[in-house]
Amino acid sequence: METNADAFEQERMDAVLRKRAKKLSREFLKEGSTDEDLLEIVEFRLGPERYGVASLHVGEVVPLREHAIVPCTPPFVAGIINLRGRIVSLVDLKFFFDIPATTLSEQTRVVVLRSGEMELGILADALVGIRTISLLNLHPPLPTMAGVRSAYLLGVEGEDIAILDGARILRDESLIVDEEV
Amino acid sequence: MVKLHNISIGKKLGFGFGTVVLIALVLGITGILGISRLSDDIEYITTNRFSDLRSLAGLNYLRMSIRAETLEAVLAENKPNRDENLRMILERRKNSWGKIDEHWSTLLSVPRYMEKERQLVEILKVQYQSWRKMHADMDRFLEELLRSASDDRKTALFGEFRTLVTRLLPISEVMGSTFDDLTRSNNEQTDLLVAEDLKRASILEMFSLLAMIVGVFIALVMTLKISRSIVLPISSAVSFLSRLREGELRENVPKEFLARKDEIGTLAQAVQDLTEGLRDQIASMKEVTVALASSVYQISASVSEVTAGAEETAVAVVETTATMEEVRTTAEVTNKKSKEVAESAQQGLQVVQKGKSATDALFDGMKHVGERMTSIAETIIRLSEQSQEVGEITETVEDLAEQSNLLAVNAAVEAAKAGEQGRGFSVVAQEIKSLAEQSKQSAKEVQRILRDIQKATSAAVMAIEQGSKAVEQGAMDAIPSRESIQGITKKFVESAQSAAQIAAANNELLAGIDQVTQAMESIKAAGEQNVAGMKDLEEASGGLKEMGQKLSLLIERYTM
Repeated sequence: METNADAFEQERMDAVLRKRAKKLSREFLKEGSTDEDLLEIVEFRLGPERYGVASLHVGEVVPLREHAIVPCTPPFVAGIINLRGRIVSLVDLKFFFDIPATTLSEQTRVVVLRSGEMELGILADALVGIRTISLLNLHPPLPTMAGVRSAYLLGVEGEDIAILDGARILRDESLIVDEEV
Repeated sequence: MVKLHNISIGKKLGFGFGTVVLIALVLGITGILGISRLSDDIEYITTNRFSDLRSLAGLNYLRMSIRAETLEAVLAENKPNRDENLRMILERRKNSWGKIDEHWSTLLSVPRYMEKERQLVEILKVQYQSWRKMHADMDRFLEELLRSASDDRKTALFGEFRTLVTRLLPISEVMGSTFDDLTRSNNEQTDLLVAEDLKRASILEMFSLLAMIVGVFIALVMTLKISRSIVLPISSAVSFLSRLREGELRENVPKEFLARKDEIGTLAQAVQDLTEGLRDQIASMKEVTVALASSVYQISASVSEVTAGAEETAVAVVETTATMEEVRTTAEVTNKKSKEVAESAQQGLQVVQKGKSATDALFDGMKHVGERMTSIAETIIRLSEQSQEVGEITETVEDLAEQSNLLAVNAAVEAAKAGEQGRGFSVVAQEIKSLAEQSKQSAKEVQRILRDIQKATSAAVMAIEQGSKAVEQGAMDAIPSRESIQGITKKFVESAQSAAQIAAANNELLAGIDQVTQAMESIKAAGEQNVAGMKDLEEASGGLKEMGQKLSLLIERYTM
């Protein structure tokens, strides 16, 4: 009986995996879409809202284990982390998008954006995963979003995923803190 | 002359009887002497004279008989059965000789007092001897005749025999005449003796008649005299005593009797004394009778009272006996009841002991349940700890899933950077990610289940704790009931013992009552006997009273 139950469970699991593989392959083979129109994003959560950033700009995603709070820094700087010997600063985007601050948890991840020498950690409340979106489905940001927010956004995919412009964030000088106290 | 009144009756009687006896003695001695003389003569006649005469007659007869035989033998010569006849004759002759010798010796033994008789006997002796000699010769011839065979010899012998016979006949005749002489002399002598005796007897007869007449006369005179001197005073005494019996005590014995010095005088004195003594006694008896009458009256009254008392006592005893019977019945009922109570107590004791064992079992069961619960609680706690460990493991799994997810993302990112070449890797990364998701989901599921388990175990532990507490409380609560059951058991044992003791005591009580009842029965019987005795006594006292009255009547009869 037990072996039968195990076998049944195994079968069910296999079926689920096969179904998922088929679904994924269908997404990739969407009609009327080309490779240029597709964009692979890393999706994550900031508070209740979902955000994504193109995987091209993402160096890696690491869990937040230890971070040091740096004094006399702007409020959006959450601190610094030691990433395999390199010091990477952490930015809390919630500050920019008027999302209520949340406490750090086990789910808290650091999405490391990388472009050449520039490295920047974005503090995400949770990692959702990798997703491939079609640029055709990307809408411009809502007019209610202005200022910095709209400047960092690439667009809104579907209903609720805000796609961040990783290159722009990496380039933004305002995020570089260089002041002496 | 001595007065007859002063001689004692014994002496008087002795004198009278002595006279009579003397006469009788003289008479008797004379008679005896005469009779003895007569008897001597008769004896003499009988022994001497008569035997002499008998012998003489016998000898004469035998002489004649022998003579006849001899003649017969002579005649037998010519008879045909001569020898036979001779033999018989010889036989008869021999028999006759024996008788002749006997008579001859008797004749010689008779004493002869007369001279004439003596001479005759001497002559007879000579004649007898020659006669005998001749006969002896004849016998010899006869024997020879029988023995000899020749007829000549026999004829010769017969001839000799005949000559002998012729010689014998005169001798025989002479002897016969001598016999006759002797007989005659004897007869004469005897007649003389008898005549003398008859004369003497007539004298004796005369004397006896005279003596008898004198003796009778004297005896009559003496008897009259003596009886007169005894009978008169005795009859007068009898009449005096019969008057005394009638109750006449005033009279005294006449002086003439008192003056006598014989037994009559003594008797008169004694009667006088008796009369006087009787007078005194009757006087005392009169007094005593009066006292006795009053005593008897008192005794009778007392006896009546005591009888009444005894009857009352008997009634009371009967009532007491009845009461004892009731008590006994009650005691029996009590005894029965107490036995029942004892049995009930025993049964109750058994029930209580059962209850005790049940509570003990309950107690043990509770203890056991408590131990089991503790063990279950420990097991559940261990289970909880283990589920904690499982939770930790699931956390690790979750962590690993998270890291795998992260790795998948990073791999996908790297694959995207690789461009077209990384497309396959991207799919793999996606697959890993999905696995990681799944692992995470499973771990979450496990965690949820563990939480449920945790909750359940906590609830179970709580429940067990409560249960343990309840069991402990139950045990605690059971202690007083156990103690109370122990107490009850003890009490029941005591009460059972008490009931048994009561039953035993009741038994003893019953035995005691039985004894009392028996004793009461004895008392009752004794009381009844008492009453009967008292009744007898009453009757006796009545009799006594009557006797007292009779006695006084008797005494009143005496005149003093």
